[in-house]
Amino acid sequence: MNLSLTPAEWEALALSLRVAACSLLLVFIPGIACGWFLARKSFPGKVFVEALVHAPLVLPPVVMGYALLFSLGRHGFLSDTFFDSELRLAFTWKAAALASTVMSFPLMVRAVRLAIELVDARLEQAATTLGASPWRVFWTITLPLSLPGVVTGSLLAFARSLGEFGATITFAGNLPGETRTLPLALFTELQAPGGEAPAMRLAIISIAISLAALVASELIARRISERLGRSA
Amino acid sequence: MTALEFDFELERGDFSLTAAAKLDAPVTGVFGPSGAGKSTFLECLAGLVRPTRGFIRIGDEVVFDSDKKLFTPPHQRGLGFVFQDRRLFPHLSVMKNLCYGKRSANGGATVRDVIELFVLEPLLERRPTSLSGGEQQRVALGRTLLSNPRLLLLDEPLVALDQKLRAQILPYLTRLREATGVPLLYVSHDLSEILQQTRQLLLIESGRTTAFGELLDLVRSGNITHGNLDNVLALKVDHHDAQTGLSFLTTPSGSTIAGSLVDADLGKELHIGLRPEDIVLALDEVSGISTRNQLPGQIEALIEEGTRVLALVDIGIELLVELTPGAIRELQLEPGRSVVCLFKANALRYLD
Repeated sequence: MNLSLTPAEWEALALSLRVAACSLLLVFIPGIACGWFLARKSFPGKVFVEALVHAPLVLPPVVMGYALLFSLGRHGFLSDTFFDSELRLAFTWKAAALASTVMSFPLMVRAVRLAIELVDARLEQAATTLGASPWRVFWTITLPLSLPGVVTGSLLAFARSLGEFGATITFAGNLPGETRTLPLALFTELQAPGGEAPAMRLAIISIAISLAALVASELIARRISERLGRSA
Repeated sequence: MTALEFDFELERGDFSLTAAAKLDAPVTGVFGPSGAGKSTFLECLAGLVRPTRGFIRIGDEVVFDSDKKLFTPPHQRGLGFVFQDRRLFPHLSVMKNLCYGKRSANGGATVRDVIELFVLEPLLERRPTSLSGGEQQRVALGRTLLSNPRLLLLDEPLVALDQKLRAQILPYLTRLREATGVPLLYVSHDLSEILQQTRQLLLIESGRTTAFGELLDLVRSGNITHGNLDNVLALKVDHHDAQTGLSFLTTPSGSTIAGSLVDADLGKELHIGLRPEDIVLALDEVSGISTRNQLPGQIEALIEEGTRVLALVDIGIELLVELTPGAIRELQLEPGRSVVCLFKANALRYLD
């Protein structure tokens, strides 16, 4: 089998990496903030916020894609309200990134939240009695001690973005060079007669990227654990 | 100036805490049985727990007042809290732990001072998890001291340590007290441990501060009814006599007390425990008796407490002696009566 990629496949690969990286950037800080909030704060209606955050995990991705289209599409109600219908988001690579962001957000939040819940709140108390502001406590105690969870969450989010299909094809479409990411390209190849060989190539690439990301995150998490003084 | 004044209530589920006192001693011992609410009391002072109502004043600053909706968050209270479980940061080296809350710009102890005071030099690069319990406690004490607190809260600083480690840590606590001059609350369920630091007490019992004041005043007023009372004396080593197996110690008022031979330099001050039930009262000196100590004194007060009576005897220093009501009647003991306190040399317990 010929493993060298065609220009179109290179394009799909580059696009996928760009979409996943973008979506990771978008998910990173809000995901940590939201995870911290859910782990450390209790407030009325928390269960609804939790349900909302986790909805993309349980809803069919196509439904999420439809919801995005409905709100941020050409005449979506949010675009009409906030962007004067000038928003040309749907069916661009940015739409693919946004769809991936929404789908991977709960994975990031979940991993960070679990990690922060494992951080001993008594250490945070000790830090405040030593004069540290809540902000400093977060940066010097909570975040460093939950870094392995942040790394895991980032990996999950990145992998989810690479594999995102349903919401992307609904909200961003399947435009070659613009929104045709690896999974969409693979799907397209399978639809065409004689596409088995390219499909196989794309599948192998997907697997390779995912494994590489997994190994990288494992190595990083292990190094952090050692720095935290735990046995990995 | 009053170091600390408070009057507050906390209601939390089926637990409640009511605390009110005015404390101005350099060291106040907070004494009460386990589960009485001592730790929660400290957490309220530090701002880790918000009382339901009342007020708390540290020095001249009100840090909590429910009427004025005033609540200073813990990081702005300037209190040092040494926790029972120490709470060193596992991801930071000992040095970084020490410097975490450093606020020595305004004249507090410097890092050098603290390293020297608690002998931390060899530990600086290590991780807290690799330290022994006693080492961890020293780091925790140093870390808190470096945050330059205006009031130090020590929650059971010796509780997780075995007897040998306790003896090692105690001198550090004394150093801490003497070196800083920062007012200190020392919490423990062990009265003799507190009495080595101070005789000023705040009593807490089942979620309520019951009384505060000097030990003997509290005994006189019948407020200390639980726990084992103990006479804790600070005595100076006068001389040793290996042949008789005795060490002779002098009280601040100049009387000499014999204890079992102890390895301590002459002139050194030692803390001694002497249980009230280990002392015998006689009306006159007794001859032909093995008891090494016979100290004349006068009964100051008799405090009846159920089936036991505590006699407060002035022998130059005040000693608590436990008696039965029958002995009181038979010897016709009453305040003002001259008596002799008898106790064996090995009834003296060396506490440090």
